[in-house]
Amino acid sequence: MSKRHIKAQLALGIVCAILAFVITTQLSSVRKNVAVESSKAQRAEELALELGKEKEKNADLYLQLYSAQNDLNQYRAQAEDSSDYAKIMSEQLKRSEVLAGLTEVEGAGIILTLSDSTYPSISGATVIENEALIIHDSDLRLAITELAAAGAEAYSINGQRIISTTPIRCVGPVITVNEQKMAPPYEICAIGEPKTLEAAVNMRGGLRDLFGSVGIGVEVKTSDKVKIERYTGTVNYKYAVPVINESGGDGQ
Amino acid sequence: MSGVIIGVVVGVVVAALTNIHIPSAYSLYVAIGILAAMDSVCGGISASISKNFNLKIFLTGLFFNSIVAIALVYLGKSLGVDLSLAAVVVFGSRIIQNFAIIRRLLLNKLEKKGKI
Repeated sequence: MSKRHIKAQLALGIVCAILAFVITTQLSSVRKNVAVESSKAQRAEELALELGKEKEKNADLYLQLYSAQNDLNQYRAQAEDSSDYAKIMSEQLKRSEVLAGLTEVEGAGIILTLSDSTYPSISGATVIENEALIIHDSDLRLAITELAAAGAEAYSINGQRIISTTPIRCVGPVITVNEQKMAPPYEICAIGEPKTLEAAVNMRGGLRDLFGSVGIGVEVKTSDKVKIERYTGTVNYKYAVPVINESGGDGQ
Repeated sequence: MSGVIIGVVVGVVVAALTNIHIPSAYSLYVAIGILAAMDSVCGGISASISKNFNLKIFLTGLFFNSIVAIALVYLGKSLGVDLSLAAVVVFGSRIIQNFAIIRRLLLNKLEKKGKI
């Protein structure tokens, strides 16, 4: 065997050793990576299943809540019959429940429907300019504020009652109201003097002008009987406590 | 040939013992690098059988081919074009060609020795 041949064998051997090492490592790594990815997909499926179960549980709990409320109403009716004092208390309770949004209410009002702009997105425009074509959380807040200024007493967006602590915000591509996801068109129901509310939408510089300028669909319908769902979440005031006025009385 | 076989056995055993993990982000680069190195090794084997093996050509070919292939993959990723396909096609066809050459050389050798 020539010296040159031995050299060649040595070089080939060393390179082959390195190559075999890398190939083996790569094979085991790829196998592991594939396993990790498939386990991720499996995890997503499991979570989806769990979510479904939780949703079912939620629906059951709502049913329980409604039946409990029915019972409560019955007890209240019985109490009202027993004494005048209880009757007054019960009426006050009802009034505060209406104020807090804990009862279904109905009355004359308007139904305002906002839908995303029909304008095509402009190819040369910036992302921010094209963003004006879709409805944002701020648009909904603006609409609610305008209606409140026009004397609306109760309102809901796509069936979600707006109460004093209701958050309206964008979470990714969807808007959540009371932490419930919703998509356009947004149907805002408002109870109040129908003509005033309609005028608040149609007035110059009002919601119709503002949204119409970018092509967002604005549709107002007055109705003698707008029904607004109750707030279904829980209201817990942990930090806010009523202030008791020292100068006498209870501050009223 | 003995050097190749011993090298492969040593490499596999060491890899099995060390247990290194390659993250999935680098797996494509490593795969293309492997392909380029395999091409060089095949060329080296065929050269050593036909007795015109040159150590300088072998080592420079090995390193530069691997580096160029990996750089090509990186460039493809930044350009948004799958340039790794180019490396796969070129090195794949060259590996097959080299194997064909090795096969013919071995057949010729065996014929000369009168074993076939």
